[in-house]
Amino acid sequence: MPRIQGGMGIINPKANRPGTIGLIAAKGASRYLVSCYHVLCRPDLTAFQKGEPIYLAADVNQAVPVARAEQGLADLDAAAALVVDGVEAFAGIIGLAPLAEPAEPEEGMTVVKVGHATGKTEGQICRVEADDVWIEPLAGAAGGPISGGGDSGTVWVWKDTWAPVVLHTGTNDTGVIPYARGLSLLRALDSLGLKILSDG
Amino acid sequence: MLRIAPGALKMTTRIYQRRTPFCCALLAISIGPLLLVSCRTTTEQVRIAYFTRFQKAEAGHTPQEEAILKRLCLFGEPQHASGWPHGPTEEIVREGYVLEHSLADKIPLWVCEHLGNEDLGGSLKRPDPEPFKPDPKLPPGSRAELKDYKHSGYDRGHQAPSGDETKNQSRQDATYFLSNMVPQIGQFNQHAWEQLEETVRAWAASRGGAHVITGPMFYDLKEDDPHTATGHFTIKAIGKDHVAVPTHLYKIVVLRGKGGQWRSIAFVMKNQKYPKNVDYKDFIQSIRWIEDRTGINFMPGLDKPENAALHQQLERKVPTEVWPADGPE
Repeated sequence: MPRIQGGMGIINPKANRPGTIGLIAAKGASRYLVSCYHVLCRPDLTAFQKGEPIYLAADVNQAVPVARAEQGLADLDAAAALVVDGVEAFAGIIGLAPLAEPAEPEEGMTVVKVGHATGKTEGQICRVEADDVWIEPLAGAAGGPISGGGDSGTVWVWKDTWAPVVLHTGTNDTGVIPYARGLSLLRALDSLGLKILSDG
Repeated sequence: MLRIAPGALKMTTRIYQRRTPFCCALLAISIGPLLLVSCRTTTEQVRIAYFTRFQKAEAGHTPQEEAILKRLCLFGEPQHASGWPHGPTEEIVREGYVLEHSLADKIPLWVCEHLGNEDLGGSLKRPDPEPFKPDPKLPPGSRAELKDYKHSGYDRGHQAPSGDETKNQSRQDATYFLSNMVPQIGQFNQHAWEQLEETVRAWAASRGGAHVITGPMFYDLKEDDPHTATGHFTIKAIGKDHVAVPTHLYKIVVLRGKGGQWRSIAFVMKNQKYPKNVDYKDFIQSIRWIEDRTGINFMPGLDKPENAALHQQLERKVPTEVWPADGPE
């Protein structure tokens, strides 16, 4: 059976747009993968059917579902899918240190994410308005963009403490500097009624 | 306030005299608004929002789209050069072309195609009437509408030409979405540019295929000279949706030469009238030159270290002559 963890690419064939597992969360004994509504449910934020299968993006034949769409909050662009029995769901995010408890995002935090499209990139939270978060590339950062198509659903983690802080929902690339955009992870988890799965 | 001058409607016959009050009223109603419009000193223009909560979702391409992108964008999908504010854009992927549409300018930034046996040499003619239509994949207000072009004095200039799709009706029809058009001077569109499109098709047919990237430019020669550069210049726009009129058009062609090596050639032509016989040699430019002036990296896959030599060959070296009809060596 497949093993899943935050940072891996996923797809709901009904939505047909790949995104990223933010992290694994729990409610009681059940395990959920957390991502965006526009990835797990529908890209145009319309209604979905509970139970729609979710596959790893790497499973090109879509042979083995790893989860089933369960909860969706279109207004927040957050969603959770129930991990299928037998699938091993690990705490944390591929390539990052073990996660601490989630924290509220604050301006000035240096954050890192692992996304299906652009891999590991770093940025700095430059604006927080209620639950909306803006993240800009680190000053002097070289190389590619801070995020790209396929990164939706990943989670930005505060590098100082490894606390996950932001659910990545999109980008604003209209200006000179492309910003990543996201939602307070705590707000998303609270609204979904979930807690993150910890290594302990 | 505007008034119609007294006496301007004096008539000599009784019939006309009887009708004069009615005629005056009719004329006032019909001409009045025109006079008002012609006297306006304010115009509207589109600006990119410096502060915006605009957000683009970052779900990836569908597997089908990925396959199309691989087929049509030879060295990767064109990307914005760093530091260029292109404003909000929307990518549109179709079987025959991929484009990035500027939601501010209502025209594409670039359109990628592959001309191969799947497109060329078929029996389809230009449809009559031609099925121009607004692109349903774009929201009203961020796209061109048919009425924007009506009476504008500009042609709806295809970027991926209708003539590149002669085997599949739906693909040909898809070239008629206004997202694939720019306002183009009619004589330019119907002669010099069309001839260039035919030349490219001939190269593609003889070399077994060609990758083509076409798009508009906003460029003023004075900005290329520090003595005359001001950092700004004026452009035109048409219609209620302010569809931007490009100053120039570019066309980039990449194909395999007779020796099997990748070869490139690019043209930049001003959006203006041309004499009957055009020497296309005068319009050859390097891809790098176009990239520097459009803020677009047309073939980002060439940036990989292993492609350094190819990068140099394709983007910086410029042919000194237009390729012969059967393509380059």
